[in-house]
Amino acid sequence: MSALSNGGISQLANVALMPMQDAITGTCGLYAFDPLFGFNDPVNASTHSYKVEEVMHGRTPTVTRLLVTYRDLGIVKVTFAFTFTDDSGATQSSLIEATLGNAQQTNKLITRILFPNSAITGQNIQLTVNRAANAGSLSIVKITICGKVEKQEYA
Amino acid sequence: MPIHLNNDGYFEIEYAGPYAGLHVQLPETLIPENASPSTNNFMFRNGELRSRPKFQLEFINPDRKNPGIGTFSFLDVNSVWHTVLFTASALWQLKGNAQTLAAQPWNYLGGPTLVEGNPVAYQAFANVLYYTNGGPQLVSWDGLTQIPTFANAGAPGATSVAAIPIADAPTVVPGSTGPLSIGALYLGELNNQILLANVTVLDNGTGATFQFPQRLWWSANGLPAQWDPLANSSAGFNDFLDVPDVLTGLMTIGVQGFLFRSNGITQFSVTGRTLTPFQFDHLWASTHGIGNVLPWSIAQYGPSGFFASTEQIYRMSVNSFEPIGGTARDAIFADLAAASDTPVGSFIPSLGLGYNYLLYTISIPLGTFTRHYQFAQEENNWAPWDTQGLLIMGRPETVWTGQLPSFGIPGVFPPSVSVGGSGTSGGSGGTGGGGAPAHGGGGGRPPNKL
Repeated sequence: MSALSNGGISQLANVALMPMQDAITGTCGLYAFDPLFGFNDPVNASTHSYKVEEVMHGRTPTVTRLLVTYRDLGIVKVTFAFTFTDDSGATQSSLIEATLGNAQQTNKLITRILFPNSAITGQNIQLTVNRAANAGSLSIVKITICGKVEKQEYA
Repeated sequence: MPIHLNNDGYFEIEYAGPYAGLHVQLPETLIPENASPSTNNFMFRNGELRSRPKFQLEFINPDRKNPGIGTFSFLDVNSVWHTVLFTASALWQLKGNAQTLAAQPWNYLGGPTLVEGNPVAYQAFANVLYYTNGGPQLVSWDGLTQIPTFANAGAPGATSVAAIPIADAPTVVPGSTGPLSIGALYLGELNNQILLANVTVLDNGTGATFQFPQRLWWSANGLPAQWDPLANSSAGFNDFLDVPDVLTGLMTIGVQGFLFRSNGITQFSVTGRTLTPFQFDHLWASTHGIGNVLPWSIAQYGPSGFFASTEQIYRMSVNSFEPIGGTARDAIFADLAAASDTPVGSFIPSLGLGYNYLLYTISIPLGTFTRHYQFAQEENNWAPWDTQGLLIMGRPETVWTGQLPSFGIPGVFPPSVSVGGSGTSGGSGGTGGGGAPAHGGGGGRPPNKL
């Protein structure tokens, strides 16, 4: 007959523990990316850039609106940043700040139409989604950029 | 076509999943619409672009001076689970269920001092935990005794489970007096034999240390405390002196074993013979070639193994090698080149019980933060996640934690999963039960989120 076990735990829950050390204080602990605590990290911001769009090579498009379909995980503040270039080679940017979601999260898919605050007319347009640390849980299902581009044929 | 362009110049550009993840191998104008030239702290699970889960302190460290260098769960002979933490000073055990951040959750078990800064290699065999991390000791704990074992009854005076007695020491390691204590950087098991790779031997008689970075040493079949080939002929060792490099890792898949070197891989298989239990084949023994250059990048999940070579990240099975660095390779290797400490690899099947997300992770410490490159095994994409202010110190591992009553945020369910009580998904107050039946009783953690 075996001796009694020295301690032990039950299999009620598991997490992937990461041994970490604070880079400044040296304090150590076991951390986890834990979805049970949600998707709103209070320390780390999130950013995601999409492909740089030419629309038509050499032409200058104008963005007129942005359609965003997201899953409602509660209120989240988001910044949709457009960067683009002009003929002089300068890089410009235009920000659309939005608050998405409901205080009582529904987990439903919701679509919002957003409009630029300033003209987004330039080449090589790139959309970046920014969520500041502790700004809420963000889950985007689809984004559509709408606009116009001149199609006059070159002589 | 993601871009719809009308004759009048009106256009729409659509971005939707499933996502291809980080893509740095083409100019930003040439990548697919579902890829990203720059992304951080988003995940692409189930075709949604979602901010990654909160990075949460789960347990405070028992030893403020020595960071954790590994953690593991194993089952003892009484079918009781133990979750342990390794620090350089000792082995610790999670006290039990219902641990909170308010109290120190670890019980001191002791054991020998480990090598500071080296992640721990561990293996459960016959309901006993074995571990080593580069020092001259193999330690075991059965979950029953008060302290770990680092001695051997067959070799009095030795300070390791893997040991050679005085009588045989000069023969086994010429120039030694014995007893000998054996440890290694890497640990595994095949054919009911414990394997030690990149071996360190301490001559307890003289205090001299012998390094055998090209050696694989195996215990006797079914006898993890017997390492003396003169006492049991199924124990033994092999030095790979015919290759130009040293052992940098060990993995076993099915009946095959793989010894990693910095410029190559040596496959070994079970022969069924006692005197020569393994047959070794260098897959290649070239001066330069695919090998494991980051000793702790190796991770395994069932038949899939992962490692980082000089030029690529590979996923391997028992008979195949597949490059998976893909469109993120250059970014990963740029950060690996800038690592401020030891990068570590790990594989986790789920981020929490019921929240499946199969990820091979390379965690790279970068001075003031750690960047975790997450490879989604099912979706074949890479997502970098940063943890500001925190540096990785050991190999991440999925462990049992028991009930954790401090968790109290309500869950988010897939639309097809009914939620008990209110009839609305989500909701407040943790009434839901539909999403997390696997938790069993006790109710501590909330239902899992979508």
